[in-house]
Formats: sequence, structure tokens, C-alpha cells
Amino acid sequence: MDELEEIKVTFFQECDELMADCEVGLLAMEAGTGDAETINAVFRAVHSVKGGAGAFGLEALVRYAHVFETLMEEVRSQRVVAEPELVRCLLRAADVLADQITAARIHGRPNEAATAAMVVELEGWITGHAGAAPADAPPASAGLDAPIEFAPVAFAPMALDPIAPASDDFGFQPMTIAIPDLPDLDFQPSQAVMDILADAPGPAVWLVTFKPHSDLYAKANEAALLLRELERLGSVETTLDESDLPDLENMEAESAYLGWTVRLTAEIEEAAIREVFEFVDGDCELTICRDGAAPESEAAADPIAALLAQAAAPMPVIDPIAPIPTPQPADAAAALMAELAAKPPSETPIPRLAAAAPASDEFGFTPTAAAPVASLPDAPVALAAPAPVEMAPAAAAAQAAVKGGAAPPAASQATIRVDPERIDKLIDLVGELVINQAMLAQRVAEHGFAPSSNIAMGLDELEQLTRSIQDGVMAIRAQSVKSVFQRMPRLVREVAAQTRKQARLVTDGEATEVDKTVIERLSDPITHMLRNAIDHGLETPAERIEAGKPAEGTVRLAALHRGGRIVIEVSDDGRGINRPRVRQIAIDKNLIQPDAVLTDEETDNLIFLPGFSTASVVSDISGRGVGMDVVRRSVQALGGRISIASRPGEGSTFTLSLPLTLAVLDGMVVDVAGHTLVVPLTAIIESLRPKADEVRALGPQGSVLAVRDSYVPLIDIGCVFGFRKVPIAPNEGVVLLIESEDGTRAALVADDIQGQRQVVIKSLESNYRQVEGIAAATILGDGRVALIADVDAMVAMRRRAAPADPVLYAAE
Amino acid sequence: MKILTVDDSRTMRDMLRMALVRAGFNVVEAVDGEDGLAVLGEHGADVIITDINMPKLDGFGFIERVREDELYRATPILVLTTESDPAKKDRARQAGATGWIVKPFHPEKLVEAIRRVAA
Repeated sequence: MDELEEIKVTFFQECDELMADCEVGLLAMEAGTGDAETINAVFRAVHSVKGGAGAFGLEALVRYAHVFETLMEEVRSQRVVAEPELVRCLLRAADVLADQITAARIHGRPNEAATAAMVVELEGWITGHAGAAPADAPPASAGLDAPIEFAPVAFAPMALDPIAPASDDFGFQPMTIAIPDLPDLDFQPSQAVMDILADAPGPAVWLVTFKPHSDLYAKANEAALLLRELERLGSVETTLDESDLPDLENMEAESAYLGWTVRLTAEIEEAAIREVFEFVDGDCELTICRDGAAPESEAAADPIAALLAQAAAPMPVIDPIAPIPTPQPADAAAALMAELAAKPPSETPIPRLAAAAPASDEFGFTPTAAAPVASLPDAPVALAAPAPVEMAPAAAAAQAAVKGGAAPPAASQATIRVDPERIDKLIDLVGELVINQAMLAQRVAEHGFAPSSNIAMGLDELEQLTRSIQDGVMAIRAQSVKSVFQRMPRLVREVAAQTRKQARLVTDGEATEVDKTVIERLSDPITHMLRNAIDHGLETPAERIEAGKPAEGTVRLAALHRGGRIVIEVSDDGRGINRPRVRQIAIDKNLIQPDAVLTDEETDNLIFLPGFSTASVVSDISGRGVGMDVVRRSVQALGGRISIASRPGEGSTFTLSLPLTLAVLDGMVVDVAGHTLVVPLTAIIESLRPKADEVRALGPQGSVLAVRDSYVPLIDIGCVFGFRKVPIAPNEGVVLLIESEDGTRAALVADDIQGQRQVVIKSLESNYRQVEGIAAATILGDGRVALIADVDAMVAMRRRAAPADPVLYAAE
Repeated sequence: MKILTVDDSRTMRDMLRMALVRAGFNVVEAVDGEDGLAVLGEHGADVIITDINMPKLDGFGFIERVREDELYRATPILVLTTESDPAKKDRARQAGATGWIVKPFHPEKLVEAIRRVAA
């Protein structure tokens, strides 16, 4: 990937961050918690998107961002009041901008109708205030695909409100030209320019008189450098004017006394000379005239000559706000037309003018400009392509400084960007290291070395080091959930609009970190839960008001760490689950017995049962055709759990919990009927060897365990997986007391416990296929493969096998 | 020649760095005005290129602060901007900016602007 492409990848990454900032700011404005800096931040975000887009010649993006930015500028300068309706409009505008960015990234076409409509809306806010254009102006004149208007008004762009659409069109079209063909800095003048040049007269002799004011030096400009620039234009004869130089005792160090007259012979136009003095305009006395001609005052610069010179100048990165003496092509073209209309032909050299008009087009508006964009190779969408380790500012600066021979600076805030594949590889390798270390430990134990022996102690240290390395490597890959959360406000807006509800999203714990493998899997379930919360959870505004609630519902999305897992909660303040209805559906679909006695929580969780969801319950919006059971299954496949709790009239809370990583797992290794299984440690409350009198038979097959004051159903692991038909007596084995995500407790019976171990998770799905009750597999220290149990699924399997023993639950 | 670039946009810093390094300059970077002052204090610079719209300390404030330092009164400062508001350019000049570069910039134009203000 060449350097420019890498920067482009950076640009799109930065766009994501900027859009997130933008959204955060707008939401703060919407909530009324924003201040001037909030508005500034939104402005800067849009502004930066535009700036970067301009650098890559993403015209459509630049044009749209410009309209957006213009409105933000109005809001920032308080010319437009940030009333709620405007903020909502800005939020939608941000969504459209995000779409445009995505379209640019994948070289797709943005939704032009939506964009055009948004532009009209934004323009409405702008012009509604500025009055620079009628409110009902057609969209064509509002910034997109606007034709070049040769309106006389453009003759004096300075007099126009800078945000007036007409000047916008002219101001921003030229951005398309600055697609840097960086590898070499060649510039090929277009044919039109060549024509002009060919048509231009021979070497002209210019007389430039230049006398700096002290201000010129105060701004760190340097007369000598400007004179040097003149030398580059052609041959010069320079005369020093020292007539103002006072006696030494009267001389002030900071004052300017000297002036120069330069006789410049060159095939150039006046504007090229003026360009040299661009930065010192107003800080010096400057006259430029053809030798022999009367000196021409600065303000009366000939726009036609300026235009021609502008066209002839190499690489005209045209400043949309350039003052009149150096008009930009479009303005100049308009000026030219006005000029033509005003002046008798005899005063205006027609052939040159005719050549000049297309020339301005050449720079501003034609495919000449666009060609280099098209030639850019396709940018990869994400970081997937191998990227070299690239240094962030501080480090890069340090590197540059070191190269330059400067003292190496402290790289205090240095961050590095690393290709994720490299980290993944490292994590795999560390996983192998963990397994290897475990194998070694097992062999050492088998050879009868005492735990106090040097070799065993050395291995202990090795184990600790291995753990530290693993933690360290996992930390590198950890990411905050912010990247997922920041996509959700838009979803909430859209779903609320579709369902005609009013919803406000509140997020919490965005900084919560979790392994990248998990981050990638969070988006879908969260999306689903949020859709569900708005579609089913929240009432319509009318219903809410009737229920004494604010018309706008609140949906809360929170992330937190709990017990070595990441927990995502989606809660709403809506109507809560309609339990009688859920129960009736479950009975109708034969999911539960009509006389089943269920706790409220169990009733709520019926919605996750396979076959529960139907079109009558889950609308297209909520599920997009996918039932909650599918969501639960995909979550469980990751070792995660999902549950719902509800309070009628007050709302519901979905709770999703996932392991912090999908790479390693702390587990209890147990023996079951000659097989070795791993039970995730996070699910285990305690392990115990029950006494015979703590086990009570219940029904023909079932039995329960008395744990303190409650009874917990006993589940023989061997029976669940079909390793054996008859359960062993619990008091002869070991019992693992576990709690599933919905709070249900169970006692898993195993033959024996080998011990706690950290295991490296190997996906069963990708190596074999999904098996109910099994979350994944791992390789143990002795090289054998062991299955990792999915306790929630086991409890569910057991419950389904014995659906008619509600007493179990009632006993709790 | 050492050039300090001050811009809150990573993309723009990268673009500047690429163009400047290719033109043979050494580059130090800062992410906003405050950072710019810190980096300037630490590394110094022969030319400064700064954005205007930045968090913490914007380009105007940054230029004013740089000019207050006797050491950098004669250091050329180029303002990098897409501002479509001439008042901004004037304000930057009042603050002490030496010149400006309009974004998006062509590398050649960038180098030319530097040449015009620095020996």
C-alpha cells in the first residue's frame, strides 16, 4: 500500500472518530447540556471531514460536508439558534454524512435523493436566516451539482455573505483539482493553459517597487526571500532605495527603512508577481507595472490579467476566499462575462478572453481534475490489509527529529498502530505456550518430582510468567465498547421514527474494555435488544402520557464488568412484558404445559424459547425476521448468556453477558464417566461433596440437593451428554453448584475434579460443528482434547427433558 | 530545516508529513495549540504550519502565544486552512501569521509557500 493509500485508510478511521464526536456533541446539544465548546467540537468534526475529503478529491463528500459545515458555522456564531428542531435536523444530517463517508470508503454511490433532500433542509436553515437565497430555491442552486451561474453578483464576491449558495458553488468546485499526484511533483499544464501561453505575448518587462512596512517583518516575513522569489520568475535588475534610511542614532531597530525597485524580465502575467507578495499584502507599499507604463495601483488590478495569470500559474490551489485582485476561476469567469458586457470589444482582446473562459473550467470543473482520483487504487475498507507499524504523532515526531540529528525527545504520549493480524498471531502463540507449559508441568509431576524441587518451582515461575504474558497480550487487543455503542444512537433514532415513538438513548460504561473478538460479536445482539426495547418496550407517546410518563421514552445501554465477564444491559422505561400474553403464546405453541407454574422471571424468559417468536409478537423492526431464540443461541455459542427481567408498567431490562475474551477461559477440569470436561469457572458458585442425607429423591428420576435453605435440582453431567444412562449417586461424586444467567441454580454431578486450569478455547463450530450443551473445546496439558461445557444449555436441556416438574422451581 | 505542523486531524498531519518529508524537511507534529507550544518548547522549529480550528488552543491563540516568545518572534508561521471567511485570514495575520496555505494543498504549493517565508 503506498503512503497516500495508507493516509486514506487513516482518514476513514479518523472520520469514524469524528462522526462519533459529532454525534456525542449533537446529542449533548439535544439534551441541553451542550455549551459553546460542544458546538465548536461538532463544527470541527464536520470541518475536518471536509478537509480530509478535499485532500483525497472526494467531491461529493466535500460538497455535502461544506453545506453542513456552513450551517454549523452559523450555529457557532449564534446567527442561527440551536433550537430542538434544528438539532434534530443536524442529527439526521450527521447520519447522512456518515452514509456519504461510507459510500466514499467503499467507492459506492451515496443515496443521492436523501442527500439532496438533506441539503435542501440544511440550506433552508442557513438561508432562512441569512436571506441570501429564497427559501424555496431549487436544490440545484443549493450546493449540489449546481451549474455555473454567470451572475453579475459574483463580480464582487467579497460583498456577498460568505455562506450564500452561489459563492459556495464557486468556492468549492476548485477543491477537486488538488488531488496530489504525489510520487512526483510534476505538473502538466492543461492544453487550454498551453493555448493561452502560446497566445501570450513575448517576454514582458515589469517594474516592481516594493517597500516593506515594519509590520511585514513583525509577521516574520522577509524582504530578501521575496526578492529571491522574484528572481525565480525571470531575470532581474534590483535597485536599492535607501533614501529613507536615517542616521545611525535615529535608526530604530524594529523599523523598516529600505525599499527596492526590481526590473523583472519574464514571460509572466502580473498575477504571478502579485502571488509572490500575497502574504505581505497590506504590509508594504507595492506597485507593479509594465516598464514604461504608468504605475498601476494595487486595488485596481485587472481581473482579466489576474485570471489569465491564475490560469497559467502552475497548480492553482485556489483559495475560495481570495480577494478581488486574484479572483478564483469561477468568480473570474463571471467577472469576465460582466467585463465583456461592460467594455467595448476594442478594449478587450477577444481571442485571449475566449481562451480564458475554458481555462477556468479546466481547473475547476472538468474531468482533468477528477482523473487522478479515478486512478487511485481501491482503498481497503478496514485495517485488514497488512499495514506497517506506524507511529502516532509524538513518536513520528521523535523519529523525524532523530533523523534530523536533533536530540531524541521523550515519546511520552506515543501510541503505535499495529496490524491486528500480528496481535492475533501473538495471542495464538501465547495460547500454544500456555498449553505447552501445562503439558510440561504434567510430565514433571508424572516423573515424581516433589513440588518443592527446583524443577517444579521453576515451572511454577514459568507458569506465572506465561500468565503475565498472556494477560499482557490480551490487554493489547482489548478495546472499549465505545466503538459499538457509538453506532447505536442512530439506530435508536431510526427505529423510533419508524415506530412513531419518541426515544432517548442513554449510554453508560462506554469505556468498558473487552477483547476484540468479543467486541465484534456485540453489535448484533445489542442492535436486536435495542430494536426490541423501542418496538415492544416503549409505548406510543400518547399511551405514555396517559400512563403518567413523559412522552419520550428512555432506553439505557450500559456496559460493565462483572465476575470476569462483560455485561451489557439494555433497559427501557416502557410497558414491560405482557406476561399473561407471553404465557398464553407459550401454551398455544406447546412450549409449556397449561398448568405449569412459572415465576415472573421464568415467564419473561419464555420469549427466548425456540419457536416462541412469531410475526404477531416480533415485528419486522424488532427482529428483522429473527426471533429472540436465535439471538440467544448466537450469544450462547460465544459462551454468553442473555436474559430479560421486566416490571409491568415500568419497563424491561435485557441483560447480556459474555466472557471478556473468546481466546482463553478459566475452567474447572472434571472427570465424567471416563471423559474429561471443562466447566467455566465463572458459572460455578462452589463445588462440594454432598452427604447422602442432603440428596432428596423427587419424582421417578429426579433428585434435588439441599443447599443451605433451598433445594437445587441435581443434573448428572454424564447423563446429559449420554455418557451413561443411570446417574451416579451424588454423594459418591463431586457436585458443582452453578448459577445460570437467569439466576437459576443447578447442581452438576461429576465423578471427580482434576483442578482449576486456564484453557485455550478452540472453536468447536469451526473445527467440527455446533453441539448442544458444548460451548467449545480445548487441548489439555496431556495433549488430549477436552470439551468445554455450556452450563446454561445443559440446564435448559435438562429442563426440557423434564418439563413437568415445576415443583423444582417452586421449591426455590 | 525543521517544520512543526500543528493540526488536530491525523489525516492532515499525515498528508503534511508525507509532503514535507519528501521535500526534504524534518517534521515535528502537534495535535492542538497547547501541544504545539509544548512541542515547540521541546524541539524548536524553523517554520510552523498550523491549523486554525483546533480544540484546547486554536490557531489564533497559538500564533499569539508563539509570537510572545522572544525566541520565535521571527519564526515564519503558515496558517493551514480551508476557511471560506476572509476575516479568519485577517485575524490570523493580526495574530502574527506570516502566510497561509489553503487546504487541500498541493505539495508543490506547500513547498513554495515555505520557500517564500523561510531561507
